[in-house]
Amino acid sequence: MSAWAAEGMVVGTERVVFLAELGLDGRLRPVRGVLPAVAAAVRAGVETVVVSRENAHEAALVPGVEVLTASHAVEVAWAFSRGNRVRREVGDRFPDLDERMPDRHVGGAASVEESRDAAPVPEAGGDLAEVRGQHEARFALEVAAAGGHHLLLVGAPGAGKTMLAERLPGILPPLGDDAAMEVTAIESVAGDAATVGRLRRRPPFEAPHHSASTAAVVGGGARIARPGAVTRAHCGVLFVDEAPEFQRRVLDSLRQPVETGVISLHRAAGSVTYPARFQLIMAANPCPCGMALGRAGECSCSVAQRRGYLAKLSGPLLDRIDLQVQVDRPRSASMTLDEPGESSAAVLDRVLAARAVQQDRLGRWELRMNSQAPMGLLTGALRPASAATAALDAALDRGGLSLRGYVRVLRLAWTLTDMAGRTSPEAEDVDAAMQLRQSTEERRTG
Amino acid sequence: MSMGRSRGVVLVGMQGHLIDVESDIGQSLPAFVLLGLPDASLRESQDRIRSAARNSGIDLPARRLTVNLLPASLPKSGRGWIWRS
Repeated sequence: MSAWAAEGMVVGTERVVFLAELGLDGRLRPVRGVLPAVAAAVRAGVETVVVSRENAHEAALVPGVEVLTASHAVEVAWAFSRGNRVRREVGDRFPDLDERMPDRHVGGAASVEESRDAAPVPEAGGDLAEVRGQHEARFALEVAAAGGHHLLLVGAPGAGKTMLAERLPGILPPLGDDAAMEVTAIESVAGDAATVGRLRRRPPFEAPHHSASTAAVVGGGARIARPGAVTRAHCGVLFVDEAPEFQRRVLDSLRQPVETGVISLHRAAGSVTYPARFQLIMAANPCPCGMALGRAGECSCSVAQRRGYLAKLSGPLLDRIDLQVQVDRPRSASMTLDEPGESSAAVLDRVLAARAVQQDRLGRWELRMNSQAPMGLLTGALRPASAATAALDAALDRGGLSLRGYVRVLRLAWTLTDMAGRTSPEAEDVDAAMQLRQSTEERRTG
Repeated sequence: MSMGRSRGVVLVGMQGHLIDVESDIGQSLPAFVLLGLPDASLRESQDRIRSAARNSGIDLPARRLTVNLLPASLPKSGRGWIWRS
């Protein structure tokens, strides 16, 4: 365009951003990453962008921008034509030039409203009602959803760990405007589809296979690193199934993003920081044969194998996981099969209520969930009564708990308090939080 | 005046950077010069732009075309934003 402007063919392109791929015949094709690009342009004061037709809806998600869409370079030239020059040049080739004026869209409100009103699209994942029994694990899942806590499920094969984890997005609240914009921008850069048509309201769910490399999980590649699974799971769930089968390096690379919510990737060509505030759900068998829990007699593994297996989940990583729960195989067919579990919708209502309470309390520190509360807050303004935390304080004194663990127990206790409808954690909430955190830890070391 | 301007965006990670594109048509033998740290995929744009312009019916003049991408310090890559020749 600027070359045409240099020739005097078109005018007024100085403050317009053009985003499309050009074919040899002059056709415009969609490109990746239009949403973050347009958002950046608007932040820099640009008012008009030109994109290909396929990218129109994506660009129009950004509020406060005028979007021109065209499918051919000539249409764009015509829109910025100086007088009739473009028509004189191409008139015989494009006699229908007047009908090919680029479409105008105004970015913002309309499309955002529309995607909020639309009913949540049920995606693969299923309903919690299909999970029979498993009361402890279901409770843990609900707590994880309510407070945004990380969760580890340990149990025998076939107990339903994967089933439970896959149903977590169904009981998470839909994403707010800002989060939806971030997630959609990530999808635009890293997703499979060439273009995204609407804001994504459902929290993402990423479940990499255990053969995944470090680069695939945290992001990587030559020159400027590309986003990985942790970034695609931003504002959603990263499900690490069969966690001990992952390479240890891969698991340990999750440590920093779990704590900070961002991942910083440095290469010689430059460094990039991607958002990576995900909820980590891990599932593991207790030993290579999977039978060490519950019916211990059936386990055929040696002691060394058993110890080595869960030890692949390193201490520092486990220290960051708030909820560690054992999932047993259902025992009685009549008891578990006859009685359907509670549906996702019912659980989601409770989760939404608990989130609303958290928002009320934490809103003035600009936080949304208990799991985001920093240590200073939990030991300062929001410190529970000392009577309630006596057992926890003792655990810290004994050295059985790190300071980070202490804070994480407090966060969990707050979530349990919110779910129970109390105003401040009491001793039983703190005790329950410690129980939920430690139920597999003792087994590992014992 | 034989200079024109437009704009584009380069993405580094999720961060977008606004790029100014300046073009100058000079009085020398036909050539296409691309300045401002373009990478290999961006250099391909030189041929793409001339062909696309010719096939659209608005041929670029057979003279020296210099395209400058600003800021020059930011490495620019990709096919996505190149078509503002």
